[in-house]
Amino acid sequence: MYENIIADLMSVDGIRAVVLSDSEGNIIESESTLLENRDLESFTAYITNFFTKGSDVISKSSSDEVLSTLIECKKEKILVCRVNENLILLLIADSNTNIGMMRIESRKAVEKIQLMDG
Amino acid sequence: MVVKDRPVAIGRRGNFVEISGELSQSGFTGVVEVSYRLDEISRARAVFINGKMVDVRVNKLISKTELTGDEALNELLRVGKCVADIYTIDKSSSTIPENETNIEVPSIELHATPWQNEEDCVEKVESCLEVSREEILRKYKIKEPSEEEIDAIIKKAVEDELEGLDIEVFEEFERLKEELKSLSRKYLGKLSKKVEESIDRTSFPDELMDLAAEIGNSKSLRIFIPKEKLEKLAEEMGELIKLRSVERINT
Repeated sequence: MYENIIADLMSVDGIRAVVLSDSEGNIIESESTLLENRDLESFTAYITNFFTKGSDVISKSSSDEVLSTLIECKKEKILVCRVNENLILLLIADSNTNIGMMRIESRKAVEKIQLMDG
Repeated sequence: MVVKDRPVAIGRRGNFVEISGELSQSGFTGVVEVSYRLDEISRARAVFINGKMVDVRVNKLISKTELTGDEALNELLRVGKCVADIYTIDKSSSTIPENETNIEVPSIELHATPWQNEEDCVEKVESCLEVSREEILRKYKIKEPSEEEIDAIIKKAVEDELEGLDIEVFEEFERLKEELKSLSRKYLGKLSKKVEESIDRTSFPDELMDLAAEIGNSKSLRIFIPKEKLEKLAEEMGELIKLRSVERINT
């Protein structure tokens, strides 16, 4: 359904996994070069839950809307973006991946999905 | 190198055969990025110039392999559902000449027809290769002649052929026919009418030989004429035809 988005993002150096999920964390479309023992479904559910709860906190406290969240870990970077009220984009990249590139590509992807679904 | 310009369509869903068929028919010039998941997520990039696909490359994003030309095209023909992003070409930055191609197969007119599986796809592509009579006539600007025109052409050809024949040979043949008719009358009397008509219809000595053999074996004539008499007539007719043929060769 969103193979073009997945292909765009998987072409970026360092990006290891791309997930499009609904706001409850159910995977709609995904591709990954992560190890097979990594449970992407559970991971997506946890991260999405974390993102939506964080977004709720921000929107209640500052009346603003969260567009994306970057989580920098020791081994990888995780970027979570809100596409629309139903869709969330999750990127998992190597720790040395260029953050600017990740942001630009994720914004492009969000715009593309909005264009497709618009 | 081809540089894509502005998007024409983003996220167009369908199958490759259908999409490329539409682009071919509309004489599209531009780039189509087709994303699909066959054995792994892949991205194909096809370049169209005036509706003709001149270049196609497939990048398999997980195994990091690239397919080009026929191999890429064959892969795309296997693809069921895909998502296509269609762009125009930035002509000022692009360097691909119009006749450059890495596809060695002849350009296939792909029609927008839905299909379900690989076998169906192959069937559809094969059916695309079958060119109809009307399309060929239209392509080469051939006007089909009417029945009257065909008759006139045949008549003229026959007349021309007859003009070329030796008149003497023709007259000799006519004389032979008359001789055979009189021989037939001698043996068959009134019953020779049918035989005479058959003789008149012949155009070559070989046909007369066949006719003589038929008379000798004719069951309907045997009702009225004894078998021996018919055989004798056939024999005499055969001898006469051979004799005249030998005479003609000698002269």
